[in-house]
Amino acid sequence: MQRRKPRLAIWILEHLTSGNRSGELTGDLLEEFHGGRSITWFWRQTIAATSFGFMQSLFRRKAALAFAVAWSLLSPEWNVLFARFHRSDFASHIWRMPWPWSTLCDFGWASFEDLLFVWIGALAYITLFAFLRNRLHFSVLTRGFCLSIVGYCAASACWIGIVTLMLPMPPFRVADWRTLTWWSTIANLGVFGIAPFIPNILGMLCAL
Amino acid sequence: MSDRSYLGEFELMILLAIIHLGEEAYGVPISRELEKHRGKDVAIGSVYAALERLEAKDLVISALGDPTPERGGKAKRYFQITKEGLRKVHETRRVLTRLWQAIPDLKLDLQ
Repeated sequence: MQRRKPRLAIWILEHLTSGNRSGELTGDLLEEFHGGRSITWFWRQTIAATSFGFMQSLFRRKAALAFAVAWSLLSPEWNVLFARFHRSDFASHIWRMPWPWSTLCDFGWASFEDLLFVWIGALAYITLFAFLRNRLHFSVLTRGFCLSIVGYCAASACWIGIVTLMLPMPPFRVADWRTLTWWSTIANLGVFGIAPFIPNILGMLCAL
Repeated sequence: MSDRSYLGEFELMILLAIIHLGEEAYGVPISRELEKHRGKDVAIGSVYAALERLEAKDLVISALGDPTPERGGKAKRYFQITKEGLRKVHETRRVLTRLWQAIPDLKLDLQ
């Protein structure tokens, strides 16, 4: 009996791995899968291929990486623009909604704010390069915008997971420096200092 | 091509696997060959990443085969070593052999 193919993993391989060999790679993995390899093996290979592809594309596109990092550093200023909204009646109406709608609407709005920021940055970068190279493909733009949602959501989910796992850890306080280990300091700084920028950077890189 | 572009360990292994496999060198057998000799699982994605680098350096060439149903209708990509690739492999072997010969008998306890 033929086993069911891991459709999601195949979709990831076909759409989210960079390089020109995603079709052949998917074919090879399917051949091995039908030859008796487990579904866990297929997923492990998919994650490895996506990671390799992503690292390779980062190495190839240093300009895009630099732009994504620089643009993401402006995100606190962008959030200031929306501060008025957070103090508005509409925002307080969201918070008065029953759970889980209040949380979902708040998450949804925060994600929309971030994605809008990512899209404006991506549009600026793509338009600049289109102007320099004298070509702009609408399909590239649409694909980039869709992929930025996937990249942003995946990175946000990872970040929320890490924050949830770290909640029992003591937050960084200067008075308690003697009790802090070096790793908890680095983890706290990483999660609460640098990590909030990562969804924006990843979302932007997926768009570019 | 620049003489400064050395072959990495993984790239050398892939080139040797391609030579050994001859006309049957595509992703799956190359990975199996590496797994057999290294004794551990190989990510096929990393094999393709290395093959792309080797192709960019003109050390291998590739051609698409026919699509088959067990591969979900995807074609195989067959790889073949170029003259330049073969020259690189021989050069690397020569350098490594000389380096090993210059080392006194090692009695390493690898356990």
